[in-house]
Amino acid sequence: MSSINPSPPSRHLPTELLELVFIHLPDPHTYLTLSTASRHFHAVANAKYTRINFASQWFFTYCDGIHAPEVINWIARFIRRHCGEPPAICTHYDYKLARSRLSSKPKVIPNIRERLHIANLFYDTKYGPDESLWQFSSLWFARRREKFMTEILPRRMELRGESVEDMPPLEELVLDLEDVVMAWDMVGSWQQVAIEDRDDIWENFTAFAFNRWRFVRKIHGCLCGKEGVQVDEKRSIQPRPKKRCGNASSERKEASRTDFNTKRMKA
Amino acid sequence: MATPSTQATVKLQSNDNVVIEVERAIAERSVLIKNMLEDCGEVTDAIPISNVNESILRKVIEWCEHHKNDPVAAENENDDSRKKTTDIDEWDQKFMNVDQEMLFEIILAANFLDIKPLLDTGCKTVANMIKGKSPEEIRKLFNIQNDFTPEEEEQIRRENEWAEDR
Repeated sequence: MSSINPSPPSRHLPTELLELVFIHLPDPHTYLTLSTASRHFHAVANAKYTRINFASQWFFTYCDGIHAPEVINWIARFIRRHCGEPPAICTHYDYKLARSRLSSKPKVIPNIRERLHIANLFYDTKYGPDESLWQFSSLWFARRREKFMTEILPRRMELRGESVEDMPPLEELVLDLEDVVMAWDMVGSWQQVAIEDRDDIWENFTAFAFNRWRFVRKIHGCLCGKEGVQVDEKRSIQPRPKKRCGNASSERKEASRTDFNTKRMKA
Repeated sequence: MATPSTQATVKLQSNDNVVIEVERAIAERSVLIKNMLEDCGEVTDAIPISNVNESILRKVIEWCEHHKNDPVAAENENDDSRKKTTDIDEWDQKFMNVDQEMLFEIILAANFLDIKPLLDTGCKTVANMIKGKSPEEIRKLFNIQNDFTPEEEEQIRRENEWAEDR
């Protein structure tokens, strides 16, 4: 490297404009590449403000098409499972932990947690949160969800003294960079399906896209998007409730199921 | 609100001392100038635009002229005025088809003059230029140095591994 370059060159954008450039990037991979340009770029890319606004702009731009609500719905359910009830161990946690080591910034807690607070919002009644995500996602059809949203959920909420109006709308979800990566992959999977085949899969788009995504990412255990995620007991701040995905035995079960499904998809 | 204006044109002075006379409605695409005119009422002297040189100022005025009839976005930014990343009209695309030096200057001028739609268009154009570029090419575009140590670079690479395009 040459010596220090004190005078800002003419193409030097102030931070707030650099943030704007980040926010308008067309895809998450470009975002990550741009973040590797320099320390300053990396810091801007990792700022919560930039990440959340990028995610929001990206979903706004690319996810209001015909298949996009499904993607967002699915992500909302994913988030429910992983971040819904504290403590959550998930990609958001792991990824940020890795990042905090590098930038020595305060650890950011998944930002979605505070927004979605209604338990079991996205679970089917028959297959509760204890069931594997595989079953859970493949059985979640549009009709089922509609039934759930219109019939079961209001009844349940009534029992707990809540009303549907208390439920935050999906648009209020605060999504982060990780969600864009996932959505990008899922939309990409969908685009690989030949147009004439789409009608057949259409009803089950969510499950299709998810399984494809999972296949590509080779996910195990916590389904966090990272290969071979190790859930470390000591690292979690609070003890994990037994029924969540952090449970060791269910995790093994899920991992083996993933292997099975992966094989099945290959076949 | 603004007093009914009798003044039809305003004079703008670039930092290289060139005075350009423009229609008031066009100049008011800039929130900075609009507020200034509202605060001062009649302004007969040239308004100094201290951060912008003549060629960039002319370019910005060209944009304002083309967009002078666009609805002005509401002051409080709500979602209705929000634009998709992919929304750049054809005229703007052509307008932004300038060399990189000028593109960055236009963005800086739009920021200084507070012309939000132009600023957004400029940033979108830069964002689209970045797609498909390697980190080294990006550094060249922004004229910046790689200031990571090799260890840090390796760490970032590992950190981003999970999201790699496959």
